[in-house]
Amino acid sequence: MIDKRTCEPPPPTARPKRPLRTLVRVSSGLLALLVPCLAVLDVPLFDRIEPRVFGVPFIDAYLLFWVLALTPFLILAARLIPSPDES
Amino acid sequence: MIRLLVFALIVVPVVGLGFRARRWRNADLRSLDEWALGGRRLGTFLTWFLLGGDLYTAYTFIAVPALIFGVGALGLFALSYTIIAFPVGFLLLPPLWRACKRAGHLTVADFVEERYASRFLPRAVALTGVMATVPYIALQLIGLELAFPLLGLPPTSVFRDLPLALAFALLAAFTVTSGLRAPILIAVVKDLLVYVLVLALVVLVPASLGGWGHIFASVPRGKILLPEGHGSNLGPPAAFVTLAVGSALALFLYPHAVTGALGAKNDAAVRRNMMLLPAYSFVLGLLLLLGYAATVATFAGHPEAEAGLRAFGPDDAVPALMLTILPRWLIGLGAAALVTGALVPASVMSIASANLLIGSFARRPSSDGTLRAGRDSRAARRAALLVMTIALLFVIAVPFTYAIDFQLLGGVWILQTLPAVALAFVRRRPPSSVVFLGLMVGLVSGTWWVASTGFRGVIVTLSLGDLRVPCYAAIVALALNLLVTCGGWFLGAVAGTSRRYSRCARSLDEVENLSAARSGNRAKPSELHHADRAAPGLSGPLPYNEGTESVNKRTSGPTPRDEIAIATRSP
Repeated sequence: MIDKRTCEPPPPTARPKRPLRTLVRVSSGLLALLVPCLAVLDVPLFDRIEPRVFGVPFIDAYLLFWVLALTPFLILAARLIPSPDES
Repeated sequence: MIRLLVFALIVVPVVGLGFRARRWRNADLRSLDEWALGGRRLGTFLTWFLLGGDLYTAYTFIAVPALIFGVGALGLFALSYTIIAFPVGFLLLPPLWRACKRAGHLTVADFVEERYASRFLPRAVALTGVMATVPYIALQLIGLELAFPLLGLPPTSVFRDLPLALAFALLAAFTVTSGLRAPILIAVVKDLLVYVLVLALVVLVPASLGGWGHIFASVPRGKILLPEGHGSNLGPPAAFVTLAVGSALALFLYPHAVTGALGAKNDAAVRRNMMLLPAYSFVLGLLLLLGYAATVATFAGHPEAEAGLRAFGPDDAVPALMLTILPRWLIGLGAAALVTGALVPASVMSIASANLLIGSFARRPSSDGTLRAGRDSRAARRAALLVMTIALLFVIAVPFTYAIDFQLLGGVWILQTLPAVALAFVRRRPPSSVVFLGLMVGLVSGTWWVASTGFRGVIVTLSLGDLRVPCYAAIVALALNLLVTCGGWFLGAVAGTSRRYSRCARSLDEVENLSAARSGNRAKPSELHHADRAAPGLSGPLPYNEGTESVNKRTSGPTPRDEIAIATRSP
């Protein structure tokens, strides 16, 4: 918008938001949430005994691994998906 | 004797803590917000204990290991489900917290009432929540029942019912007295006890049974793995997936889960808790392994363990293992952990159910527009007592093979509220009548399927042509629910659009007829345009509405807007 009195363009304000960047971030965050969910639903992938981990069959060790791996994925999602206060 | 002493030394102060909790963080407990949500002042740390104490219940210690012990790897769905549940909670709970905080809601039903501006849909959601919570409280009472034989009480009917009645009375007393403050404080002690117990079991059980390698080498292969489907039958893997997804979607719809989250002081605390709560799931995973250990353990020569297994069936797997392997004093600590582990969630569940009942059926604004806090709180206490009593009757009346079926039956019901809650976040949502119809279809079909098994299981086999798909009844009922909701929404939208279109077309026809009849009096659009520009006192073009309005006021005869108004008023 040009100021009618001075006929000058307005001073540069804060950098405009980048919806595309936000979209990519939110999509990546959602993907981070989706990965653990899909990993524990693909039954043929983990329904086996070998290789054992400390004597525990693969099926149990795999699911226990994902319990531990879930928190980093959630932290990543929290960094990527802004809460309304941040946005 | 030593186990009874240890048990008493832990449980008596814990119950005392429950009663003293009413003085914690001085507040007026006549206010429903204070009694039911602890004043919404819990930080990340206390919310973590409350949610953990509330979500990891007798289900964790008793029901899931019992399923592993009895059925095998199908019980592992509980691990998959907790992994899926937290991403769901991460997306669902913070916006729900914000909406409820902004409007002062206590429950999901209040939120639904605000969004749909309906009275019958929130009442249906509230009743569904209470209905789903009752079997879950019943599961906690089973947990209490199983704890007492650990103290040397024989599992005969008198020694089963008497301590249960005593524990029930204590639960009711401190819940009514202190509200949510009691389970918050007890949850801290409970979690410490559970961690000590699990650590002891995870170290001592493999040590006495020859290590995990030896234990798993002795477990039949059919119990370690999910049996594959054969031919056109998809078999247990399909049941595993539907159980995991259904339970995960249901978890944060349970009233007690929502109550735990709404007690937080801000949405950031809720979000952080979704990241921290998987620590509890790891404990659940370790307890699952004990189900396998119980398969291998020899209970012969341990009359108390044998009697317990005879009386309670597979549900007694972990207590029997504790009786066989743990030293006496640790058995007392284990019994205390089981009792507190059942009391905390049962208390939160009854408070949450009371909130639902009071919020939807009994809360009335006073003359100055505020809610009658004192009266509400009293009514809520009575409602909590009522819900607990119904749960007690439920334990006695409904004959499930596995305790976990109580929780899964609750899941069948609570999952049907998902469309109502999820669509409440959407700006253009379906009419409440359609959502209500979907909810009813889901509830009736889900209950019918479970009843068709004689209330002995929650897995139904769907026949899709030649294909046989074993499914968690909740998922099938939800599919029907969504079909009715979305179908009704679509049909309603189509019918509404065509109705609006025909009304609009009729109005336009009438306007045209009217215009033709008055063509001599009405200014043409081109004339209006010129008049607009020529109007005195106007130096430049005006926004369309402002300009034409002002000009139309100056021109003689009715404006197009007046004509439409006349046309729509005409019979």
